[in-house]
Amino acid sequence: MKVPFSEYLTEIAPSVKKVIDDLKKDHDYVSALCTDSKGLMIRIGHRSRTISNQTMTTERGVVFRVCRNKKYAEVALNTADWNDTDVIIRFVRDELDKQDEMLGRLGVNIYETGILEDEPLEFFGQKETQYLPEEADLEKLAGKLISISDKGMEMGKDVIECIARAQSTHISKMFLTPNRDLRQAYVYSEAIVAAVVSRDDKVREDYKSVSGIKGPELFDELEAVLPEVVNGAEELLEAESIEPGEYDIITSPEVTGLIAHEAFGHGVEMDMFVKGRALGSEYIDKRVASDNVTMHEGALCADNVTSYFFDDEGVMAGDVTEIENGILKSGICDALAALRLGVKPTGNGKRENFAHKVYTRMTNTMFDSGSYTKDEMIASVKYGYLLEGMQSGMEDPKHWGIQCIIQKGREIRDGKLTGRIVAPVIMTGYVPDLLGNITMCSNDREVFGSGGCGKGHKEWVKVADGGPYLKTRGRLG
Amino acid sequence: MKTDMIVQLLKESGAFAWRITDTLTKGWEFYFIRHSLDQNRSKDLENIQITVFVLSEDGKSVGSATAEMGPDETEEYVRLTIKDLIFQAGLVKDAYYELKTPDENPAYKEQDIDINKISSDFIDMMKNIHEDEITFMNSYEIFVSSIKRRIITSTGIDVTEKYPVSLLETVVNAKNPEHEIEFYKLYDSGTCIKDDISSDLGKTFSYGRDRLTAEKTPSLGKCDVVFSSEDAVRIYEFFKDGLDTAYIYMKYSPFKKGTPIADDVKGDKVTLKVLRELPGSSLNRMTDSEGSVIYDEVLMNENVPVAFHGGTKFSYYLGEKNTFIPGNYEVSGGTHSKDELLQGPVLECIFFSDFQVDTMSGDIFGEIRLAYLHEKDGSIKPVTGGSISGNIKDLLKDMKMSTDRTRYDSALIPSYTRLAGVTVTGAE
Repeated sequence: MKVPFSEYLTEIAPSVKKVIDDLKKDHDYVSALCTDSKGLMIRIGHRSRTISNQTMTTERGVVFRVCRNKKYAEVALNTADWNDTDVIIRFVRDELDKQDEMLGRLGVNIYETGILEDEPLEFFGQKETQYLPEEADLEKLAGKLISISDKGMEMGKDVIECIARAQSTHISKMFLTPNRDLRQAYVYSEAIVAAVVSRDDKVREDYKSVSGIKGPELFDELEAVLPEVVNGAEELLEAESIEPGEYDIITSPEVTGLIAHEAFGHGVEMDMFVKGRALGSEYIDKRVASDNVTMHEGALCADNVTSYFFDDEGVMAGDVTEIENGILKSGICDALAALRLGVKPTGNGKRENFAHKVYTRMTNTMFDSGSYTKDEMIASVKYGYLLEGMQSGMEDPKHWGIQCIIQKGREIRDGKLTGRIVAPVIMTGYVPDLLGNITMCSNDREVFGSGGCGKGHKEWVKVADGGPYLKTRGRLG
Repeated sequence: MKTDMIVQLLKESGAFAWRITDTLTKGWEFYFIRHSLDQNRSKDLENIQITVFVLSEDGKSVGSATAEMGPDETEEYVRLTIKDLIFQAGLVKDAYYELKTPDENPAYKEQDIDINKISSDFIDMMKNIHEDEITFMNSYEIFVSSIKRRIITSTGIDVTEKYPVSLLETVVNAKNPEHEIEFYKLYDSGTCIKDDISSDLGKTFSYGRDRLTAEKTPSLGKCDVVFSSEDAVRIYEFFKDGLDTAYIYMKYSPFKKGTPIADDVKGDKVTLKVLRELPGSSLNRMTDSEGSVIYDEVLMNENVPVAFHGGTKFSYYLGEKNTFIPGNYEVSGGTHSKDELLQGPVLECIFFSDFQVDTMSGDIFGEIRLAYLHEKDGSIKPVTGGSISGNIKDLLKDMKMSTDRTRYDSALIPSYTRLAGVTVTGAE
């Protein structure tokens, strides 16, 4: 079925347009992003269970963006009575005036910016889904997750908790300006199963996830990963500490995705170019990786949790080739940063929700596949580690440092896995070294969309990343 | 939307119990590139969260379901939502527990929170930060909110609080002819704590200069590490989380009342007290997110847990009365001076890419952006790169803390914390 567009947004559209028309009288640019996204979250553990209509992206509200005298400002609200647009207009104007008065009183300088494009455009996009979260058979779904959790508890002798969490969100967004009317509706879902094990006061956890631009039907895929999760957690109880040093490494697609995200995801967010916070701005058309590396970023380059039709500034989704055969070709850019840099926006302007500011954010960040099999890659390693599972990452776009916290490393000696496991593993280093040492890429690839991404330590949005197995060299501790 | 209408609908619904949290947020935001305004924002929001609890037929289990809605929903929508919640709660039952019945609800204190004034204070403070050719503000973002929250439950809780919440995000740069570096810092607070923030930014500028000349961190193997910045809060969260009723009930924490958390402890022992008020904190509240009254109490005395705290459900399971979800806390127990703790050889870590302590497993890790290597002869050298790792469950056995303390938002902790035997992976 086609995902239905919000009736609420359809209803308020004429009133929102009325507010836009009024604000346009004395502003150079006016737009409104209107959101109405509903969701479902069920979390089943052995000892605690919850159900909610909230996910990371459920929201309902409107944000107006205006530009006057080369200064941009926004007012976000969900308290409006859309039957009385005069009140809304007065409120928006009053807030803008009060802030302008304060900024004038303090003598604040303005970062002058041109006027965003507002060429006429109409768009109405609906993605496909089998079910909607608000129409899911919750009894059946809860039963399925309870069954997974119960089976997980019985699967390993050290398991103290097995959590199955599923969430699905029905997104509806409408972007309006005096000349534009863009509307989209889609559903994305994600689920994880996590096992917590304990022995002799040692507590460890492992997890696997599934995600996709589909409805709650996705949750049928969850049970298949359960044995791997429980075995993986129990393996961690036996894991040893790694001897710090530099090793040949093979990254699993999940770790590959983490590297993609931290290295040339955050590293080429072009709002950071505007602030002079990213080294990437000095490396366009220069080598940053080995010939084996090609990377793409964009809502169009994979089908996953953030594969929308248009971004939160009304820019249509794109597919940017960031690195081509080791050469940095382009970054990703929101509309205001693009205006300031004199480039085209790439459809990467995203908000945590309507009440938050737009920043340049990632969507799907992916390494391209290569030509080797995973077995050929392992066979090529004399002594090193196969790295699996991601916990977290952090980048330093100014210095191209990278930190990846990885769930475990499987030792490889003379081209074979020895069965020895080290955990946890922290991989650090200089991004061009890490990518410059990539000598092999596998001929497959996977996408992971169960996580969130912050800008610094806030502004959380959905992202997806992934790629093939990679062989490189890195510093592990 | 009128909360009274929701209360009436819930009373009529037949639910075993219910809780409503109505949060009004008025916020102003200002974004700066260097000292030029990138954009200004305003928000006016109301979020209503309803949780419904249902009792099983045999009376042995309770399920709960939660819905969030905006203020413009109709009475009919709310009625249908409550009906759905009652059905959904029946699908996810836990062992029986009860919501708390308060002896008395704290009285509402109206306070004038002037977000215009607080915003002005932040902007004015940042305009007057002392910069030079080497160290300067790259950018900063100011978030100021006035929040009014009302929590009502079927068991008689009805508390309203109004409080300010502020956040300042800063990016400090330092540059010389060879290169340019940045340090990222977040300051959470209630209002603008000008002296504390200005002083800390001054220190960050000084660290920036040292980072410019820092050498690569050598491979030190196992060595002593001192934490003398906000990252130390992550270490003390291991203790705080371990005393949470959810962690205890879920068996994520092995802490037992009356039993020391570790044997053969050679260093200082932690005393942790939760606090309702900590001047300057962004978490000063009379009640927690479930409406439970917060008060001061020692949870751990010299490494021996004496009380547990946490949310209603898990506290009930453990038989803990009068609990709450802690916000502010202080740690004491240090017996050392700064000079003693920085006696070399020791690596004093100042900035990490992202220092983390997994409070369940105890694993710690972080990539070093700036550290000082204090040698035995008293020499000090700034270093960068590489990482530290270890497990706090082992490291706490030889943890030394300073007597003097520093507040980082909601945590008042020893200014210097020294751990012995941390693995340092070099960058050379």
